[in-house]
Amino acid sequence: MLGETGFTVLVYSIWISATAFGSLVCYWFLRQGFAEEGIADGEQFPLESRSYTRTSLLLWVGFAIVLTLLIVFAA
Amino acid sequence: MVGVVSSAAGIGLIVFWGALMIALAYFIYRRQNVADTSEFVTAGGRAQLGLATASFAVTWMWAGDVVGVPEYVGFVGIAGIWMYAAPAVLSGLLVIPFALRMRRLFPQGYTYSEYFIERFDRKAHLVVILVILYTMVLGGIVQLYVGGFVFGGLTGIDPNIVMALLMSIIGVYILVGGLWGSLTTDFVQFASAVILVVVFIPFLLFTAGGSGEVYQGMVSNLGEESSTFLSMQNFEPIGDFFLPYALGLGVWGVVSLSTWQRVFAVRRDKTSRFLTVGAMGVFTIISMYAIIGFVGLANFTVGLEGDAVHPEDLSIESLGLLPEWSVILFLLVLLMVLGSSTDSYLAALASLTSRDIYYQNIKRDASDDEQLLVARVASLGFALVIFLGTVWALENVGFVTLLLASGIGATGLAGPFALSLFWRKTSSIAFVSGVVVSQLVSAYLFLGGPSLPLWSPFALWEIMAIGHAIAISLTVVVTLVRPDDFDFEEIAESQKAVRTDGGPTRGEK
Repeated sequence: MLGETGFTVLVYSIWISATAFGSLVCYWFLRQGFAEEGIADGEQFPLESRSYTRTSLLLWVGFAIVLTLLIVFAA
Repeated sequence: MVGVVSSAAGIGLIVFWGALMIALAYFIYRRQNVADTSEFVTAGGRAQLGLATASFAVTWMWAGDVVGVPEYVGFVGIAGIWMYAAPAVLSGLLVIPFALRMRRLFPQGYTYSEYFIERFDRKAHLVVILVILYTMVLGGIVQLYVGGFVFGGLTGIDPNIVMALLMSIIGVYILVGGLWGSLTTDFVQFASAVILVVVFIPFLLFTAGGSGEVYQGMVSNLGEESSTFLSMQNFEPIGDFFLPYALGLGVWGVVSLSTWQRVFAVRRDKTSRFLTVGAMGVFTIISMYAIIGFVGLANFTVGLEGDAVHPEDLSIESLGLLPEWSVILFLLVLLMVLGSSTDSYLAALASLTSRDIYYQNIKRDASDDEQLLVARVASLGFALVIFLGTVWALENVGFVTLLLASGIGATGLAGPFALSLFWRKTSSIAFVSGVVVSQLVSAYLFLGGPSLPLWSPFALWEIMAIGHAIAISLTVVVTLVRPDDFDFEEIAESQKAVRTDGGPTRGEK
């Protein structure tokens, strides 16, 4: 059973994660705006690079590890 | 807990929200010149990462979560967080290989369903249209249902009036701005919802005495059940609470046209990142809603009998602990997340009607202006359909049934779609057989009863698993008997010079 300290850490961790997520997305928007300007009609962006995809997948691995640890230790 | 906020304040809030959303849609209509189908349906394929991520995330932050997550906590305890949120995250992960493959083969599609014409034929396309139609309409109904239930419950306004107002506002701003309208309002809705959630939910926690007091209250109220409710390893209810969600809504993103609109809208070189960050972010926001459930468990006796608070009512009861002004802020969060999801489904339905139904099946020589007009009319038409469907559902169907029914469409389509993308031998007849038989069997098991022939009772997650198993195995078996030999490069090559409709490239309008 999760103790009081663990519960408090859980609640604060959730809050910090949500705040960080919201801040990141708002930062991206403020920096980049609505759309890529100056792109000619019919022009395509290149496919994303393998390293870019790999980084995204690494983020997923990290997330899976955090979630597993949460389930293992918050019990 | 009826009428925590006055009806006048409730109506004022809806009017304020509506005016803001319509003004935003008009702003983006002028800014991005939403005057052709490409801009209306796909935002021209050049939306930036922040805008697309916010839109994807807030579309996945369903209004139902506000009721659903505390309800899960009321039934399961803290394990309700991952049981509810993990399927939403899973959905984001599963979409990535589909999205990367589609954007290579089909760089700038209008709707992903048009891919099935290129890959198979019009019969397969028609089947996909039908599945998308009912999943998107059901998705809209789920959102509006919660809007009517919670907003009506907290303000004392007739839920039907609330729903009519909300749907009219959403219909108008999609009519004006199309997908650009949806993306832009989504961003504002995202920012407002996140700010209010990270400010307002801690306020609820501190109103209830802070995390320590809430913890002690939970232990005291739950008694012997504390050890179960305060453990992330409460696996016992997994069959009722996690598996149906994971097997249905966990793959919902793969078949959701609103997800695909965002996949086609974002810059092609940022595809995996917006899905990754968006899905993980949804997990954090959904987890915040769980805190409402913790406060409820600390302050009320929760159960299914006697005077105990039913888990379904836990969010409304907990919010009743707050002063009126903060409940108004909470209702604003609800409007934001409700609007973002419903407008996404409405924009998807407008695109589907314009491109997949009208252009592809009724008038192949329709001009761009005609397609745009059909999309705009469809946005109002489907607003009416969703409203009427929700009025009916409020009287006749429980929320959880409605929520899980919307996941059935995904069980039939996800597997065959994957096979079509990655296995060149997958044939049209195999695809159609897999999808149709799976949907029929799942619907029969879900909606049927003992009086029907060959009907057997199955748990919901078993019905979902059966749906997946039939869809995949039938597609594989029929393909082995009647294989195709599709050349994927054909689509990729044709897409370099010709748009999906066989018409001119964007520069040749």
